[in-house]
Amino acid sequence: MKKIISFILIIPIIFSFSFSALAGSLSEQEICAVASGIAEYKRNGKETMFSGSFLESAGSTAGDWYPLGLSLFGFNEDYKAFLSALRDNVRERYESDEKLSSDKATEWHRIIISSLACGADPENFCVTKSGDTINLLADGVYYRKNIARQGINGYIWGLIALNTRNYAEPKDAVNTKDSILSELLSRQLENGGWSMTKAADTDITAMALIALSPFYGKNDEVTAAADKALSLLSDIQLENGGYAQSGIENSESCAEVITALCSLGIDPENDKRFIKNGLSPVDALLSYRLNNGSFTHSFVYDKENPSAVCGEANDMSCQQALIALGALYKMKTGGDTVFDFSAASVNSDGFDSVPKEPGAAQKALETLNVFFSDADKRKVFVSAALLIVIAVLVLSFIKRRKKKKQ
Amino acid sequence: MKKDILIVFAVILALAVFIGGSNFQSVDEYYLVHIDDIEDDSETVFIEIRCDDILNHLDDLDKSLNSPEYVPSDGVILPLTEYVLRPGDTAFDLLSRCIRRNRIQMEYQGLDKNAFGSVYIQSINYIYEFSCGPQSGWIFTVNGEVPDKGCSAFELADGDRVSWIYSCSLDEAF
Repeated sequence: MKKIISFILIIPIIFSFSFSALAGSLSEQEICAVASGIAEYKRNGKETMFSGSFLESAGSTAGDWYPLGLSLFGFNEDYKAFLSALRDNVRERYESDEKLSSDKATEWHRIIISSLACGADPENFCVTKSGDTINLLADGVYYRKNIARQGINGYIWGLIALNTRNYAEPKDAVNTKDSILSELLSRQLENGGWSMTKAADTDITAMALIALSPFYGKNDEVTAAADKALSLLSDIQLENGGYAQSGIENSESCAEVITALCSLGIDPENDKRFIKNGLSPVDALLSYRLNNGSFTHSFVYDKENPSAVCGEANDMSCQQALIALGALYKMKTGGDTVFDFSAASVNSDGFDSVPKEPGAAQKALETLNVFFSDADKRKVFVSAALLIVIAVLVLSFIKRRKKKKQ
Repeated sequence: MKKDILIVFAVILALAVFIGGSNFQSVDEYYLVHIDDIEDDSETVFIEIRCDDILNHLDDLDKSLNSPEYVPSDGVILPLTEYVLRPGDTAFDLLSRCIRRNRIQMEYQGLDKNAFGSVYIQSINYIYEFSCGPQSGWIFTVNGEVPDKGCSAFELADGDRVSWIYSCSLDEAF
């Protein structure tokens, strides 16, 4: 009897080991489910996100990142509608002297990325009212005087924009890949980070790494600089696997670090440098997910982000979480990194819906609804094993009592 | 007969003076016109607009703004001024009313035009973000503290003192 009991007791122990070993890794379906939750929340009951009043946000930080986020999963959406709204917005703004902005080159950089996500060509984006072709790369990077007027973001996102495809660099360009790369490297802080101010900033460091990623492992100077930054990010990671910015734990910092690691080919779920107490940045990011599928900025009041209400859905958090999840998804499915559009098909019309792998993520979502996820399967086995143990113990207890009575 | 006519004319004249010299208003109209009159029992707030930090960073200032009409010599665009607090006023409502009254230029980004979901003040008196270096821009404080909400979400209370300050160093602004 004792042998049987001890044998049965081993079962839940075995299962609990396997449970904790796999706890850190999300399946593709699980990632899609979380991403889909964000999309559902943002759609707010509409059939497609890119319709109605949402299109008014095309050309601004409120809307431009969603085509990127959704296209990473190949979710069906009306990308053409967004592209059309984006073109209208840009065309309108090009009528003024300052065009997209007098101060911020990143207005161009963000729209370049958004246009690529919709399948359009940023060098032949659209035509002004007077018939001139709008070349976003020329205006936003190559010939942009004072590209860093707004600070280091101008360099970081300018380089990310240049890295999106194999563009032909004009000979008379004011800013080139090499010139921006050298500016970025010269601005690295003592401790390996980057910042808009003097103290290393988690998010800016992560974004700088994204900009450097195509040169990682190929250029010695970049590799050394990036490794120093990675060392810093590992050091400042919190005990719960997450990240803070200016002392406030928040979801965007986690998301940016995840995106940066994926861009460098580092697995954010399993690389030992980024696991603290068994928790990864991905575990931390998921802790910001709310019941309605959206993500919140933080659970602690952040005076540097006064419009983010603690524990409530935050648009920027949703955007960045979606992209981070997309980066993770790409890594798991062997796709290109988030900002790499070199293999993308790009034409002057843009996409109707993303054709690359239209079925993959959608199919994953469908199977998720029908079958248990891996996590659910594990939970079922563990609870079944525990029930068996309890049943055996109860039975043996009853037997002993009967014996005593006899 | 003459006396009668004279009396009639006198009455008409008196009526005309009375009507012409009087301002007839409905109760609502009266309140609308006098809504911003400061009475003893009015709830009021104070607002000031300052850019004196620029004076510490004149080298970084856009050349085109280096004149007293944009950057006053003491950095005070609007000294502390009292306004009636209308019910539900946010910091943004107060600023809008104030700049219109004083004919001060202001440009803002609507709350649906950025990922923060809050109105963002891009310029006051033609001084824009980044006009004085990459860490420059407008912030606001209420009673000396940076609030926990954006200006379009922060509701004011009786006696609040709102300061719109142009800071040239982001890391020291908070």
